[in-house]
Amino acid sequence: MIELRNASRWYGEVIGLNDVSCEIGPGVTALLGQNGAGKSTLMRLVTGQIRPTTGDVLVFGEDPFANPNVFAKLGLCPDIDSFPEHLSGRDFVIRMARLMGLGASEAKRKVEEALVTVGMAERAAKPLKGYSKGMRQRIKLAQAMIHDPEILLLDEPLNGLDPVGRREFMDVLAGLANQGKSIIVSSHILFEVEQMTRSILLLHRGRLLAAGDVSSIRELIDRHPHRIRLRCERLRELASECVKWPFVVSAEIDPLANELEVRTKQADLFYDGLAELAQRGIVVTMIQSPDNNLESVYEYLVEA
Amino acid sequence: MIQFAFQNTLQDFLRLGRFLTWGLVALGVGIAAFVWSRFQPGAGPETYGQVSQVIVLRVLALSSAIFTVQVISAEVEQKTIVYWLTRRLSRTQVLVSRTLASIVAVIVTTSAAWLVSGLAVLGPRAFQTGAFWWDFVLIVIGAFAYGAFFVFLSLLLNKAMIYCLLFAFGWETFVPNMPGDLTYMSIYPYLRALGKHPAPQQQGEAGLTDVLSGGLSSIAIAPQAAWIVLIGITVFFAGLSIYWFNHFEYSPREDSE
Repeated sequence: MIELRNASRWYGEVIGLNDVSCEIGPGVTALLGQNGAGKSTLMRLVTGQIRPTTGDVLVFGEDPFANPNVFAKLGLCPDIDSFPEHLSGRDFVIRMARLMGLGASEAKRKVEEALVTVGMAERAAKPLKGYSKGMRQRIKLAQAMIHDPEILLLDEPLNGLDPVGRREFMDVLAGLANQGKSIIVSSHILFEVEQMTRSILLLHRGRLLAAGDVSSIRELIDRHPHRIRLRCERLRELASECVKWPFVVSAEIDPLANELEVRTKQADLFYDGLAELAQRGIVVTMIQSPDNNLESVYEYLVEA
Repeated sequence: MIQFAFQNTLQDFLRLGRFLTWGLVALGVGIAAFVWSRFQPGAGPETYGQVSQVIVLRVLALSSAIFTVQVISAEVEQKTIVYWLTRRLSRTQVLVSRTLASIVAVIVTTSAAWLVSGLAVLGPRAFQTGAFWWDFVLIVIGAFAYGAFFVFLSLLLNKAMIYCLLFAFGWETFVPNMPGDLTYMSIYPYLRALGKHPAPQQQGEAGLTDVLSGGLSSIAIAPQAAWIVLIGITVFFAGLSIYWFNHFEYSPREDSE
Protein backbone atom coordinates (compact mmCIF):
# COMPACT_ATOMS: atom_id res chain seq x y z
CA MET A 1 0.00 0.00 0.00
CA ILE A 2 2.73 2.45 1.00
CA GLU A 3 6.27 2.29 -0.26
CA LEU A 4 9.22 4.53 0.44
CA ARG A 5 12.31 4.09 -1.73
CA ASN A 6 15.42 5.84 -0.42
CA ALA A 7 13.23 8.75 0.53
CA SER A 8 14.97 11.75 2.04
CA ARG A 9 13.53 15.09 2.96
CA TRP A 10 15.50 18.19 3.85
CA TYR A 11 14.14 21.43 5.31
CA GLY A 12 16.87 23.79 4.22
CA GLU A 13 19.92 22.46 6.02
CA VAL A 14 17.94 20.38 8.48
CA ILE A 15 17.21 16.80 7.59
CA GLY A 16 13.73 15.54 8.32
CA LEU A 17 14.02 12.06 6.83
CA ASN A 18 17.23 10.41 5.72
CA ASP A 19 17.31 7.70 3.04
CA VAL A 20 14.35 5.70 4.32
CA SER A 21 13.18 2.61 2.45
CA CYS A 22 10.27 0.56 3.72
CA GLU A 23 6.90 -0.90 2.82
CA ILE A 24 3.80 -0.61 4.95
CA GLY A 25 0.92 -3.00 4.46
CA PRO A 26 -2.40 -3.82 6.16
CA GLY A 27 -2.76 -3.89 9.93
CA VAL A 28 -1.49 -1.47 12.54
CA THR A 29 2.03 -0.17 12.10
CA ALA A 30 3.59 2.13 14.62
CA LEU A 31 6.04 4.87 13.81
CA LEU A 32 8.15 5.11 16.90
CA GLY A 33 10.59 7.89 17.57
CA GLN A 34 11.36 10.90 19.71
CA ASN A 35 10.37 14.44 18.79
CA GLY A 36 12.30 15.37 15.66
CA ALA A 37 12.83 11.74 14.65
CA GLY A 38 11.01 12.25 11.35
CA LYS A 39 7.61 10.75 12.15
CA SER A 40 5.60 13.77 11.08
CA THR A 41 7.77 14.26 8.00
CA LEU A 42 7.04 10.68 6.97
CA MET A 43 3.33 11.27 7.60
CA ARG A 44 3.40 14.42 5.46
CA LEU A 45 5.21 12.63 2.67
CA VAL A 46 2.71 9.80 2.66
CA THR A 47 -0.24 12.20 2.75
CA GLY A 48 1.18 14.22 -0.14
CA GLN A 49 1.57 17.47 1.74
CA ILE A 50 5.27 17.60 0.92
CA ARG A 51 7.57 15.97 -1.63
CA PRO A 52 10.69 13.96 -0.91
CA THR A 53 13.91 15.85 -1.70
CA THR A 54 15.34 12.62 -3.10
CA GLY A 55 13.89 9.15 -3.54
CA ASP A 56 10.28 8.14 -4.05
CA VAL A 57 7.13 7.83 -1.99
CA LEU A 58 4.34 5.75 -3.47
CA VAL A 59 0.86 5.21 -2.10
CA PHE A 60 -1.20 2.63 -3.99
CA GLY A 61 1.51 2.90 -6.65
CA GLU A 62 0.99 6.65 -7.14
CA ASP A 63 2.86 9.78 -6.13
CA PRO A 64 0.69 11.20 -3.34
CA PHE A 65 1.74 14.86 -3.71
CA ALA A 66 -1.38 16.93 -4.49
CA ASN A 67 -3.10 13.76 -5.68
CA PRO A 68 -6.85 13.63 -4.83
CA ASN A 69 -7.04 10.01 -6.06
CA VAL A 70 -4.75 9.04 -3.21
CA PHE A 71 -6.47 11.31 -0.69
CA ALA A 72 -9.77 9.56 -1.38
CA LYS A 73 -8.26 6.42 0.16
CA LEU A 74 -6.39 8.14 3.00
CA GLY A 75 -7.60 9.40 6.33
CA LEU A 76 -5.29 11.70 8.26
CA CYS A 77 -5.50 12.59 11.92
CA PRO A 78 -2.81 15.30 12.03
CA ASP A 79 -0.69 16.28 15.00
CA ILE A 80 -1.78 19.92 14.76
CA ASP A 81 -4.26 21.23 17.27
CA SER A 82 -5.84 23.85 15.03
CA PHE A 83 -9.43 23.94 13.86
CA PRO A 84 -11.89 26.49 12.52
CA GLU A 85 -12.70 27.27 16.14
CA HIS A 86 -16.07 28.91 15.47
CA LEU A 87 -17.54 25.63 14.18
CA SER A 88 -19.03 22.92 16.34
CA GLY A 89 -17.33 19.54 16.32
CA ARG A 90 -20.24 18.07 14.36
CA ASP A 91 -20.21 20.85 11.76
CA PHE A 92 -16.47 20.47 11.32
CA VAL A 93 -16.71 16.74 10.70
CA ILE A 94 -19.66 17.25 8.32
CA ARG A 95 -17.60 19.81 6.43
CA MET A 96 -14.71 17.39 6.14
CA ALA A 97 -17.06 14.64 5.00
CA ARG A 98 -18.60 16.85 2.30
CA LEU A 99 -15.14 17.83 1.07
CA MET A 100 -14.44 14.12 0.75
CA GLY A 101 -17.29 13.90 -1.73
CA LEU A 102 -20.08 12.59 0.49
CA GLY A 103 -23.59 13.88 -0.21
CA ALA A 104 -25.40 15.94 2.43
CA SER A 105 -27.58 13.16 3.85
CA GLU A 106 -24.87 10.51 3.64
CA ALA A 107 -22.42 12.86 5.34
CA LYS A 108 -24.82 13.50 8.22
CA ARG A 109 -25.47 9.79 8.71
CA LYS A 110 -21.79 8.84 8.61
CA VAL A 111 -20.82 11.72 10.86
CA GLU A 112 -23.25 10.53 13.53
CA GLU A 113 -21.81 7.02 13.28
CA ALA A 114 -18.26 8.31 13.51
CA LEU A 115 -19.09 10.55 16.47
CA VAL A 116 -20.59 7.58 18.29
CA THR A 117 -17.49 5.51 17.51
CA VAL A 118 -15.15 8.13 18.96
CA GLY A 119 -17.43 8.84 21.91
CA MET A 120 -18.34 12.40 20.94
CA ALA A 121 -21.98 12.07 19.89
CA GLU A 122 -23.29 13.85 23.01
CA ARG A 123 -20.74 16.66 23.00
CA ALA A 124 -20.29 17.45 19.31
CA ALA A 125 -22.78 20.34 19.25
CA LYS A 126 -20.47 22.63 21.23
CA PRO A 127 -18.04 24.99 19.47
CA LEU A 128 -14.57 23.55 18.97
CA LYS A 129 -12.98 26.46 20.83
CA GLY A 130 -14.29 25.04 24.10
CA TYR A 131 -12.98 21.52 23.57
CA SER A 132 -10.37 19.83 25.72
CA LYS A 133 -7.33 18.24 24.11
CA GLY A 134 -8.91 14.81 24.37
CA MET A 135 -12.13 15.96 22.70
CA ARG A 136 -10.12 17.51 19.89
CA GLN A 137 -8.25 14.27 19.36
CA ARG A 138 -11.54 12.41 19.08
CA ILE A 139 -12.92 14.89 16.56
CA LYS A 140 -9.74 14.61 14.52
CA LEU A 141 -10.11 10.83 14.48
CA ALA A 142 -13.77 11.14 13.47
CA GLN A 143 -12.94 13.35 10.48
CA ALA A 144 -10.13 10.99 9.47
CA MET A 145 -12.33 7.89 9.33
CA ILE A 146 -15.50 9.52 7.99
CA HIS A 147 -15.02 8.43 4.37
CA ASP A 148 -14.03 4.88 5.24
CA PRO A 149 -10.41 5.19 4.03
CA GLU A 150 -8.19 2.23 3.28
CA ILE A 151 -5.25 3.80 5.06
CA LEU A 152 -5.57 5.70 8.30
CA LEU A 153 -2.64 7.83 9.42
CA LEU A 154 -2.72 8.98 13.01
CA ASP A 155 -0.03 11.40 14.14
CA GLU A 156 0.40 11.16 17.92
CA PRO A 157 -3.31 10.36 18.39
CA LEU A 158 -3.11 9.46 22.06
CA ASN A 159 -1.73 12.83 23.16
CA GLY A 160 -4.09 14.38 25.65
CA LEU A 161 -6.33 11.36 26.10
CA ASP A 162 -7.03 10.09 29.58
CA PRO A 163 -6.46 6.37 30.35
CA VAL A 164 -10.08 5.46 29.61
CA GLY A 165 -9.96 7.43 26.38
CA ARG A 166 -6.72 5.71 25.39
CA ARG A 167 -8.27 2.31 25.97
CA GLU A 168 -11.34 3.24 23.92
CA PHE A 169 -9.14 4.70 21.20
CA MET A 170 -7.06 1.54 21.01
CA ASP A 171 -10.21 -0.57 20.81
CA VAL A 172 -11.42 1.53 17.88
CA LEU A 173 -8.07 1.05 16.14
CA ALA A 174 -8.16 -2.68 16.77
CA GLY A 175 -11.65 -2.84 15.24
CA LEU A 176 -10.52 -0.93 12.17
CA ALA A 177 -7.43 -3.12 11.79
CA ASN A 178 -9.64 -6.21 11.96
CA GLN A 179 -11.60 -4.80 9.01
CA GLY A 180 -8.38 -4.98 6.97
CA LYS A 181 -7.50 -1.30 7.20
CA SER A 182 -3.94 -0.18 7.10
CA ILE A 183 -3.31 2.01 10.12
CA ILE A 184 -0.16 3.96 10.80
CA VAL A 185 0.18 5.42 14.26
CA SER A 186 3.04 7.62 15.36
CA SER A 187 4.14 7.85 18.94
CA HIS A 188 7.21 8.48 21.03
CA ILE A 189 6.16 6.14 23.82
CA LEU A 190 7.21 2.51 23.41
CA PHE A 191 4.82 1.27 26.08
CA GLU A 192 1.91 2.95 24.29
CA VAL A 193 2.89 1.46 20.96
CA GLU A 194 3.26 -2.05 22.36
CA GLN A 195 -0.38 -1.98 23.40
CA MET A 196 -1.50 -1.19 19.86
CA THR A 197 0.66 -3.29 17.61
CA ARG A 198 3.64 -5.58 17.28
CA SER A 199 4.76 -4.02 14.01
CA ILE A 200 6.92 -0.95 14.29
CA LEU A 201 9.18 1.36 12.35
CA LEU A 202 11.73 2.92 14.65
CA LEU A 203 12.97 6.31 13.53
CA HIS A 204 15.80 8.29 15.01
CA ARG A 205 17.09 11.61 13.70
CA GLY A 206 15.49 10.98 10.35
CA ARG A 207 16.86 7.49 9.85
CA LEU A 208 14.95 4.24 9.95
CA LEU A 209 16.75 2.47 12.75
CA ALA A 210 14.75 -0.73 12.88
CA ALA A 211 11.66 -2.20 11.30
CA GLY A 212 9.63 -5.25 12.16
CA ASP A 213 8.19 -6.87 15.24
CA VAL A 214 8.42 -4.92 18.46
CA SER A 215 9.86 -8.00 20.20
CA SER A 216 12.97 -7.73 18.03
CA ILE A 217 13.48 -4.26 19.43
CA ARG A 218 12.95 -5.58 22.91
CA GLU A 219 15.52 -8.29 22.25
CA LEU A 220 17.99 -5.68 21.11
CA ILE A 221 17.37 -3.85 24.34
CA ASP A 222 17.76 -7.00 26.36
CA ARG A 223 21.20 -7.61 24.93
CA HIS A 224 22.27 -4.52 26.80
CA PRO A 225 22.11 -4.59 30.61
CA HIS A 226 19.54 -2.35 32.24
CA ARG A 227 20.74 -0.01 34.94
CA ILE A 228 18.58 0.09 38.05
CA ARG A 229 19.26 2.33 41.06
CA LEU A 230 17.93 1.24 44.43
CA ARG A 231 17.70 2.66 47.94
CA CYS A 232 17.31 0.46 50.97
CA GLU A 233 17.95 0.57 54.74
CA ARG A 234 19.97 -2.64 54.43
CA LEU A 235 21.94 -1.64 51.34
CA ARG A 236 24.95 -4.01 51.73
CA GLU A 237 22.70 -6.95 52.44
CA LEU A 238 20.66 -6.09 49.34
CA ALA A 239 23.84 -5.88 47.24
CA SER A 240 25.07 -9.25 48.40
CA GLU A 241 21.70 -10.84 47.58
CA CYS A 242 21.62 -9.25 44.14
CA VAL A 243 25.04 -10.48 43.03
CA LYS A 244 23.91 -14.04 43.73
CA TRP A 245 21.36 -13.83 40.92
CA PRO A 246 22.65 -15.08 37.55
CA PHE A 247 20.91 -12.33 35.57
CA VAL A 248 22.72 -9.57 37.48
CA VAL A 249 25.84 -8.41 35.67
CA SER A 250 27.17 -6.06 38.33
CA ALA A 251 26.22 -4.31 41.56
CA GLU A 252 27.92 -1.19 42.84
CA ILE A 253 27.24 0.86 45.95
CA ASP A 254 27.39 4.64 45.67
CA PRO A 255 28.40 5.68 49.21
CA LEU A 256 27.67 9.37 48.66
CA ALA A 257 24.11 8.84 47.44
CA ASN A 258 23.71 5.78 49.61
CA GLU A 259 22.33 3.92 46.63
CA LEU A 260 22.97 0.63 44.90
CA GLU A 261 23.31 0.55 41.12
CA VAL A 262 22.60 -2.83 39.58
CA ARG A 263 23.08 -3.83 35.94
CA THR A 264 20.89 -6.70 34.81
CA LYS A 265 20.07 -8.36 31.49
CA GLN A 266 16.62 -9.44 32.61
CA ALA A 267 14.86 -6.63 34.36
CA ASP A 268 11.62 -8.56 34.81
CA LEU A 269 13.30 -11.35 36.77
CA PHE A 270 15.22 -8.79 38.78
CA TYR A 271 12.01 -7.04 39.87
CA ASP A 272 10.51 -10.44 40.82
CA GLY A 273 13.59 -11.08 42.94
CA LEU A 274 13.14 -7.76 44.72
CA ALA A 275 9.61 -8.78 45.64
CA GLU A 276 10.95 -11.98 47.23
CA LEU A 277 13.56 -10.01 49.15
CA ALA A 278 10.86 -7.69 50.47
CA GLN A 279 9.10 -10.71 51.96
CA ARG A 280 12.33 -11.49 53.81
CA GLY A 281 12.47 -7.96 55.24
CA ILE A 282 14.89 -6.36 52.77
CA VAL A 283 12.59 -3.57 51.70
CA VAL A 284 13.63 -1.34 48.84
CA THR A 285 12.51 2.26 49.39
CA MET A 286 13.34 3.61 45.92
CA ILE A 287 13.68 2.06 42.48
CA GLN A 288 14.88 4.14 39.58
CA SER A 289 15.48 2.72 36.12
CA PRO A 290 17.06 5.36 33.92
CA ASP A 291 17.36 2.83 31.11
CA ASN A 292 13.71 2.04 30.90
CA ASN A 293 12.88 4.63 28.28
CA LEU A 294 13.05 5.02 24.56
CA GLU A 295 16.09 7.27 24.69
CA SER A 296 18.15 4.33 25.97
CA VAL A 297 16.79 2.13 23.21
CA TYR A 298 17.97 4.63 20.64
CA GLU A 299 21.36 4.86 22.28
CA TYR A 300 21.70 1.09 22.32
CA LEU A 301 20.63 0.76 18.71
CA VAL A 302 22.87 3.56 17.53
CA GLU A 303 25.79 1.96 19.36
CA ALA A 304 24.85 -1.46 17.96
CA MET B 1 -17.53 19.42 -4.05
CA ILE B 2 -16.15 22.64 -5.51
CA GLN B 3 -19.55 24.22 -5.00
CA PHE B 4 -19.59 23.07 -1.39
CA ALA B 5 -16.07 24.40 -0.88
CA PHE B 6 -17.15 27.75 -2.32
CA GLN B 7 -20.32 28.02 -0.20
CA ASN B 8 -18.52 26.86 2.87
CA THR B 9 -15.71 29.36 2.49
CA LEU B 10 -18.15 32.16 1.78
CA GLN B 11 -20.07 31.31 4.95
CA ASP B 12 -16.81 31.54 6.87
CA PHE B 13 -15.84 34.83 5.29
CA LEU B 14 -19.23 36.43 5.82
CA ARG B 15 -20.19 35.02 9.17
CA LEU B 16 -22.11 37.35 11.45
CA GLY B 17 -19.21 38.86 13.40
CA ARG B 18 -17.31 39.77 10.27
CA PHE B 19 -20.42 41.01 8.52
CA LEU B 20 -21.12 43.38 11.39
CA THR B 21 -17.54 44.66 11.27
CA TRP B 22 -17.85 45.47 7.59
CA GLY B 23 -21.26 46.97 8.27
CA LEU B 24 -19.54 49.38 10.68
CA VAL B 25 -16.94 50.19 8.02
CA ALA B 26 -19.75 50.99 5.59
CA LEU B 27 -21.40 53.19 8.22
CA GLY B 28 -18.12 55.05 8.76
CA VAL B 29 -17.79 55.56 5.00
CA GLY B 30 -21.36 56.85 4.89
CA ILE B 31 -20.73 59.36 7.68
CA ALA B 32 -17.50 60.55 6.01
CA ALA B 33 -19.31 60.89 2.68
CA PHE B 34 -22.16 62.83 4.27
CA VAL B 35 -19.78 65.26 5.99
CA TRP B 36 -17.80 65.62 2.75
CA SER B 37 -20.93 66.51 0.82
CA ARG B 38 -21.76 69.26 3.35
CA PHE B 39 -18.49 70.99 2.46
CA GLN B 40 -19.45 71.10 -1.23
CA PRO B 41 -23.13 72.02 -1.34
CA GLY B 42 -24.78 71.70 -4.73
CA ALA B 43 -21.98 69.56 -6.18
CA GLY B 44 -23.52 66.15 -5.48
CA PRO B 45 -22.30 64.12 -8.49
CA GLU B 46 -18.77 65.58 -8.28
CA THR B 47 -18.60 64.96 -4.54
CA TYR B 48 -19.87 61.43 -4.96
CA GLY B 49 -17.17 60.86 -7.58
CA GLN B 50 -14.50 62.03 -5.14
CA VAL B 51 -15.90 59.87 -2.34
CA SER B 52 -16.01 56.90 -4.67
CA GLN B 53 -12.42 57.35 -5.84
CA VAL B 54 -10.91 58.26 -2.50
CA ILE B 55 -12.88 56.11 -0.08
CA VAL B 56 -14.87 53.37 -1.82
CA LEU B 57 -11.96 52.21 -3.95
CA ARG B 58 -9.80 52.22 -0.79
CA VAL B 59 -12.36 50.03 0.95
CA LEU B 60 -12.19 47.75 -2.09
CA ALA B 61 -8.40 47.44 -1.81
CA LEU B 62 -8.58 46.96 1.98
CA SER B 63 -11.31 44.36 1.74
CA SER B 64 -9.41 42.53 -1.02
CA ALA B 65 -6.22 42.48 1.04
CA ILE B 66 -8.04 41.07 4.06
CA PHE B 67 -10.19 38.46 2.37
CA THR B 68 -7.79 37.16 -0.25
CA VAL B 69 -5.05 36.60 2.30
CA GLN B 70 -7.44 34.24 4.03
CA VAL B 71 -7.74 32.09 0.92
CA ILE B 72 -4.53 30.12 1.58
CA SER B 73 -2.05 32.16 3.62
CA ALA B 74 -4.19 32.42 6.75
CA GLU B 75 -4.97 28.70 6.58
CA VAL B 76 -1.24 27.97 6.44
CA GLU B 77 -0.55 30.23 9.41
CA GLN B 78 -3.38 28.65 11.41
CA LYS B 79 -2.17 25.23 10.22
CA THR B 80 -5.69 24.28 9.13
CA ILE B 81 -4.44 24.09 5.54
CA VAL B 82 -3.76 20.41 6.14
CA TYR B 83 -7.50 19.74 6.17
CA TRP B 84 -7.88 21.36 2.75
CA LEU B 85 -4.85 19.73 1.17
CA THR B 86 -5.79 16.18 2.08
CA ARG B 87 -9.36 16.23 0.73
CA ARG B 88 -10.66 14.86 -2.54
CA LEU B 89 -10.38 18.29 -4.14
CA SER B 90 -7.51 19.09 -6.46
CA ARG B 91 -5.39 22.04 -5.44
CA THR B 92 -6.79 24.01 -8.37
CA GLN B 93 -10.33 23.38 -7.10
CA VAL B 94 -9.35 24.45 -3.58
CA LEU B 95 -7.74 27.64 -4.83
CA VAL B 96 -10.44 28.58 -7.32
CA SER B 97 -13.37 27.89 -4.99
CA ARG B 98 -11.82 29.79 -2.09
CA THR B 99 -10.64 32.68 -4.27
CA LEU B 100 -14.08 33.08 -5.80
CA ALA B 101 -15.60 33.06 -2.32
CA SER B 102 -13.17 35.77 -1.24
CA ILE B 103 -14.02 37.86 -4.32
CA VAL B 104 -17.74 37.58 -3.58
CA ALA B 105 -17.02 38.61 0.03
CA VAL B 106 -15.05 41.61 -1.23
CA ILE B 107 -17.87 42.60 -3.58
CA VAL B 108 -20.46 42.30 -0.80
CA THR B 109 -18.49 44.27 1.78
CA THR B 110 -17.36 46.98 -0.65
CA SER B 111 -20.85 47.25 -2.09
CA ALA B 112 -22.16 48.06 1.35
CA ALA B 113 -19.74 51.00 1.54
CA TRP B 114 -20.60 52.01 -2.04
CA LEU B 115 -24.34 51.91 -1.38
CA VAL B 116 -24.13 53.86 1.87
CA SER B 117 -21.78 56.49 0.43
CA GLY B 118 -24.03 56.96 -2.61
CA LEU B 119 -27.09 57.45 -0.43
CA ALA B 120 -25.21 59.75 1.93
CA VAL B 121 -24.10 62.09 -0.86
CA LEU B 122 -26.82 61.80 -3.49
CA GLY B 123 -29.74 60.54 -1.44
CA PRO B 124 -32.37 58.55 -3.38
CA ARG B 125 -31.11 60.30 -6.55
CA ALA B 126 -28.21 57.84 -6.47
CA PHE B 127 -30.41 55.16 -7.99
CA GLN B 128 -31.08 57.36 -11.02
CA THR B 129 -27.40 58.20 -11.46
CA GLY B 130 -25.57 56.22 -14.13
CA ALA B 131 -22.12 56.87 -12.64
CA PHE B 132 -23.31 55.43 -9.33
CA TRP B 133 -24.39 52.15 -10.89
CA TRP B 134 -21.27 52.01 -13.03
CA ASP B 135 -19.20 52.04 -9.84
CA PHE B 136 -20.60 48.61 -9.05
CA VAL B 137 -18.98 47.35 -12.25
CA LEU B 138 -15.71 48.91 -11.04
CA ILE B 139 -16.06 47.11 -7.72
CA VAL B 140 -16.56 43.78 -9.48
CA ILE B 141 -13.64 44.13 -11.88
CA GLY B 142 -11.51 45.63 -9.10
CA ALA B 143 -12.33 42.72 -6.78
CA PHE B 144 -11.12 40.29 -9.44
CA ALA B 145 -7.95 42.24 -10.25
CA TYR B 146 -6.94 42.91 -6.64
CA GLY B 147 -8.04 39.40 -5.65
CA ALA B 148 -5.92 37.65 -8.28
CA PHE B 149 -2.89 39.80 -7.44
CA PHE B 150 -3.19 39.49 -3.66
CA VAL B 151 -3.80 35.75 -3.79
CA PHE B 152 -0.58 35.37 -5.75
CA LEU B 153 1.29 37.57 -3.25
CA SER B 154 -0.06 35.50 -0.39
CA LEU B 155 1.11 32.29 -2.07
CA LEU B 156 4.53 33.79 -2.59
CA LEU B 157 5.27 35.53 0.72
CA ASN B 158 5.07 34.79 4.41
CA LYS B 159 3.06 37.33 6.43
CA ALA B 160 1.33 38.32 3.22
CA MET B 161 -1.26 40.49 4.97
CA ILE B 162 1.38 43.13 5.73
CA TYR B 163 2.51 43.33 2.10
CA CYS B 164 -1.03 43.37 0.76
CA LEU B 165 -2.04 46.19 3.10
CA LEU B 166 1.11 48.12 2.24
CA PHE B 167 0.25 47.71 -1.42
CA ALA B 168 -3.40 48.61 -0.90
CA PHE B 169 -2.68 51.82 0.98
CA GLY B 170 0.93 52.81 0.34
CA TRP B 171 1.63 51.75 -3.21
CA GLU B 172 -1.85 52.45 -4.49
CA THR B 173 -1.79 55.95 -3.01
CA PHE B 174 1.65 57.16 -3.96
CA VAL B 175 2.68 55.33 -7.13
CA PRO B 176 -0.23 56.72 -9.22
CA ASN B 177 1.04 60.23 -8.37
CA MET B 178 4.66 59.59 -9.20
CA PRO B 179 6.24 61.30 -12.19
CA GLY B 180 6.87 59.51 -15.44
CA ASP B 181 5.27 56.21 -16.36
CA LEU B 182 5.17 54.76 -12.85
CA THR B 183 1.44 55.32 -12.63
CA TYR B 184 1.04 52.32 -14.93
CA MET B 185 2.53 50.11 -12.21
CA SER B 186 -0.53 50.09 -9.97
CA ILE B 187 -4.12 48.91 -10.25
CA TYR B 188 -5.91 51.98 -8.93
CA PRO B 189 -5.38 54.32 -11.95
CA TYR B 190 -7.02 51.76 -14.24
CA LEU B 191 -10.08 51.56 -12.01
CA ARG B 192 -10.17 55.33 -11.82
CA ALA B 193 -9.93 55.52 -15.60
CA LEU B 194 -13.02 53.35 -15.91
CA GLY B 195 -15.10 55.58 -13.61
CA LYS B 196 -17.73 57.80 -15.19
CA HIS B 197 -17.70 60.60 -12.69
CA PRO B 198 -17.75 64.27 -13.63
CA ALA B 199 -14.39 65.89 -12.95
CA PRO B 200 -14.50 68.25 -9.96
CA GLN B 201 -13.74 71.88 -10.64
CA GLN B 202 -10.07 72.61 -9.88
CA GLN B 203 -9.76 75.28 -7.20
CA GLY B 204 -6.16 76.43 -6.87
CA GLU B 205 -3.33 74.01 -6.24
CA ALA B 206 -3.74 70.27 -5.84
CA GLY B 207 -4.81 69.19 -2.36
CA LEU B 208 -5.05 66.03 -0.28
CA THR B 209 -8.05 64.80 -2.25
CA ASP B 210 -6.00 64.96 -5.45
CA VAL B 211 -3.17 63.04 -3.81
CA LEU B 212 -5.51 60.34 -2.49
CA SER B 213 -7.28 59.99 -5.81
CA GLY B 214 -4.06 59.80 -7.83
CA GLY B 215 -4.87 63.11 -9.45
CA LEU B 216 -1.31 64.47 -9.56
CA SER B 217 -0.29 62.42 -12.56
CA SER B 218 -0.82 63.96 -15.96
CA ILE B 219 -1.17 60.58 -17.64
CA ALA B 220 -4.68 59.79 -18.81
CA ILE B 221 -5.44 56.12 -19.28
CA ALA B 222 -7.97 55.25 -21.95
CA PRO B 223 -10.91 53.13 -20.71
CA GLN B 224 -10.25 50.44 -23.33
CA ALA B 225 -6.66 50.14 -22.14
CA ALA B 226 -7.87 50.00 -18.53
CA TRP B 227 -10.20 47.11 -19.35
CA ILE B 228 -7.44 45.19 -21.09
CA VAL B 229 -4.98 45.73 -18.25
CA LEU B 230 -7.44 44.83 -15.47
CA ILE B 231 -8.62 41.69 -17.24
CA GLY B 232 -5.00 40.88 -18.08
CA ILE B 233 -3.94 41.26 -14.43
CA THR B 234 -6.77 38.99 -13.35
CA VAL B 235 -6.04 36.27 -15.88
CA PHE B 236 -2.26 36.44 -15.51
CA PHE B 237 -2.12 36.33 -11.72
CA ALA B 238 -4.94 33.78 -11.46
CA GLY B 239 -3.07 31.47 -13.83
CA LEU B 240 0.21 32.04 -12.04
CA SER B 241 -1.42 31.37 -8.67
CA ILE B 242 -2.88 28.08 -9.88
CA TYR B 243 0.50 27.00 -11.22
CA TRP B 244 2.26 28.08 -8.02
CA PHE B 245 -0.20 26.42 -5.68
CA ASN B 246 -0.02 23.16 -7.60
CA HIS B 247 3.77 23.03 -7.65
CA PHE B 248 4.84 24.24 -4.24
CA GLU B 249 4.33 22.98 -0.73
CA TYR B 250 2.01 24.66 1.72
CA SER B 251 2.75 22.72 4.84
CA PRO B 252 2.26 24.57 8.15
CA ARG B 253 5.25 26.86 8.33
CA GLU B 254 6.81 26.27 11.73
CA ASP B 255 7.13 22.59 10.88
CA SER B 256 9.00 23.18 7.70
CA GLU B 257 11.44 25.68 9.10
